[in-house]
Amino acid sequence: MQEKIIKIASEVFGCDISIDSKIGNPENWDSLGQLNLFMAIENELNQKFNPDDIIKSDSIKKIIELIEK
Amino acid sequence: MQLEIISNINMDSLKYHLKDYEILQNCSYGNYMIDLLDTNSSLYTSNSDVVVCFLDIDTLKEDITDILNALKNLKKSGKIIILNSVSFYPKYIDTYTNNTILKEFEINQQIINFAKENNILILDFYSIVKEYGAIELYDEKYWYLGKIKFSAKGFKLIASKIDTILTSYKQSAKKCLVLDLDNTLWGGVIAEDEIQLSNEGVGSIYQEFQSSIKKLKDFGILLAINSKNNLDDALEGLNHPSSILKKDDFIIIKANWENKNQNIQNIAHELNIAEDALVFIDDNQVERELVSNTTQAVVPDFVSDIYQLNKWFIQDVVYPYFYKFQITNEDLAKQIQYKAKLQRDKISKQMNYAEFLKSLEINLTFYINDKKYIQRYAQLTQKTNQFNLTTKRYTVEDIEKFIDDKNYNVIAVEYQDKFAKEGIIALAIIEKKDKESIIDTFLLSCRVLKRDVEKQLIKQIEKLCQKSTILVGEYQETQRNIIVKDFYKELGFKKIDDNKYIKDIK
Repeated sequence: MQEKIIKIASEVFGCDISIDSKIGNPENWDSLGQLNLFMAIENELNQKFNPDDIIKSDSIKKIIELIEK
Repeated sequence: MQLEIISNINMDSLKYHLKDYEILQNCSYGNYMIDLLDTNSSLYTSNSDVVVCFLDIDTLKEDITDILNALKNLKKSGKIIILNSVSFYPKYIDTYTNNTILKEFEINQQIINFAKENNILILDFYSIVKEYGAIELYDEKYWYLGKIKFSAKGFKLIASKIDTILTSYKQSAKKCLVLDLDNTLWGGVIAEDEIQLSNEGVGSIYQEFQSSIKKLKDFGILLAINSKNNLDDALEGLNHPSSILKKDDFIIIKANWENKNQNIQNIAHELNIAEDALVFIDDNQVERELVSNTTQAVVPDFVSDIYQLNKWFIQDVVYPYFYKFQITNEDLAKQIQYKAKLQRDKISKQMNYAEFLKSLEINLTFYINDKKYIQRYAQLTQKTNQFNLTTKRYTVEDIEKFIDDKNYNVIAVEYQDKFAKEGIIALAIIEKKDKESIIDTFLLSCRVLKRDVEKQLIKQIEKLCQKSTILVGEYQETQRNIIVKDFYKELGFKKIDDNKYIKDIK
């Protein structure tokens, strides 16, 4: 799953993403980038998340945690 | 290609689906109108080639006429502009009155008319909504979280449409659709069974398919048949009372027992068009493989579910290969012109060449810096590969700039002979510099090769460049323009370097 999420995020932000990436790093991962990332993840995984989780899960680690929950 | 996206809603996600394009920082959706009106904004000053303007009608506060006027102004910067047709989202209270139906129609009519008048490309969002539905396209959650109206699928579909538009705009459309007959144009085998072709049941699938093909022909696409059949059987099928397509709709009918790749090569040769300008449709995979592996023709996979035949044809064949933004007069007359060509070829075999040329009663009309047929000029630069000395591709906007620039002359030639009016078939763009006149573009449609049109055009250029002492020609070699390699030499120009030629015209 980790690999998949990193791949999606790399595509969304157009740069290398690591397990330590989070909102603000890369620079274009801002609040809008956060929504774009979740749209892409929902689309790829065919899974829906609730708005609170989308807003709180602002790092790769937190996103993986959320999905594996 | 560099794109800018402007909108009254958040369309930022669109860029993730347009990976083949460089998306310049789009202006924020709150400020799009300010940027449109400010001629110093990045919209005007950036190097972008294309501006995509996406209007969300549900939340649009500005007057549509004001937006269109601003876009008209932006168009003067020479950028390609894409504008969407609109569709009301039925979650708003307004849509529960009949007013929005009429309003939607009126706004779309205004947009389409505006686009036609100003050479703006239409992103048909209205059709996307009709085809996929609001439930698939919109996403309520992201709308309330970040004013992102569309779902990932919605963005993907819009992006795909933009990509199709730009690909079609830049590439030249294919010229001829070559069709198999049995189990392609009708169900069953004509020589063996009662064929399926009618206005009901399975037969109507093929009738609908034929109607679309006929429509395509009316837009200027040539039709040909390539079928393993006796000619009489093929004609019997075309004479079927339910057949929409008749014998005369086809420019060439190859109903014989030759290999289909050989027939494809012969069709291209007889029409004097490149093999890759042909698209071949056949239900038989072996035949498709043969043609695909041994010719340059485009061979799409055939539809797997016959009930989807017409839909497949529109989406997988017409859009990618035959999509046209502007239908020119030449397009509409194409079938007649090619039929005339085949007649001329027949006559030319019966007399010597000089006699033949004389017998054609050729009449040429020259248009100098005239914008009347400007769409066609751009189309010629984009489509002509063989008799094209520099193969420079220009848009309508580029040509308009040349015509408006006093340092350039744009000369077009209209051709008519006793068989047909071929329309605008040659174009030259000349740059005037002190004592030199430089031929930037010199091209001729393959339809009128070897009729001495090029010699008349050069004479006209020399006449126009009387203030110059030297005429400079250039030959930029491509894989397809070898036939004009010695063109300038043959007209008495002197070679001065690898690809430059000059002629003293004082």
